[in-house]
Amino acid sequence: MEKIYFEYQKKFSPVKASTETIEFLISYSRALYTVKHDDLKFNVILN
Amino acid sequence: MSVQIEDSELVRDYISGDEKALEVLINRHNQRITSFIYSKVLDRDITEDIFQDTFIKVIKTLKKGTYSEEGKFLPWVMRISHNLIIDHFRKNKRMPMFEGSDDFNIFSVIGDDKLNAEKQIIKDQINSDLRILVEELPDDQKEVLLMRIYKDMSFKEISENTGVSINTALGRMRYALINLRKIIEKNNIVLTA
Repeated sequence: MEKIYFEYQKKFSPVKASTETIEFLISYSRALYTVKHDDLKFNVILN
Repeated sequence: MSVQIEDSELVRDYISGDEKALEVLINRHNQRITSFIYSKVLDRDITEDIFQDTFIKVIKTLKKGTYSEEGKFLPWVMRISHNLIIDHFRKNKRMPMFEGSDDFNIFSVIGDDKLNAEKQIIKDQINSDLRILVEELPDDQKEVLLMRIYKDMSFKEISENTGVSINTALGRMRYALINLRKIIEKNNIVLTA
């Protein structure tokens, strides 16, 4: 039973977001800047 | 033994400007969120897109300072991705995507449903011939067939209207079709366009 279970598990490789996507998100986060004006907040992307 | 920093603490650190905290959060929940999205959309590329959009929303919300710590971080992120999955299916429903290849012509499966004049005449002729053949059937069979085919009634409705059981109505329909075939074969009638 254990063997069958592990054979079954081997067929499904874990799905994960790629490193490129994660790197993009980290870069995006670093570039995103919030500007506050009175009660308003604006998200600005810095180059 | 290393102690894992709580999500809430990492969120606080990130809001305070620690960019590394975001990386930890993304890597910690990457598989869970990606698997969740993939289980719904069953496409790796779309999963990647939705994952990315989810975290863009997360980043924007956290940086704006509008994140409330009422709930836990992961359920909140899952909720965002769930909403984005729904948006994805809504968008696809409005604008279905077709993925074809070079050796496949879409027009081989999509045709003009409208009949041309010649085909319409042939269709009318077949319908008219069929009505004549139906007249040859015994009255009880004819009655059931007309109700089913021409009035689009269910067998339950037919049984209520004719005062016979559903099984009898079904049997009459069966015999009506058998007899129609017999008449067609006997008279060598061709009913195809």
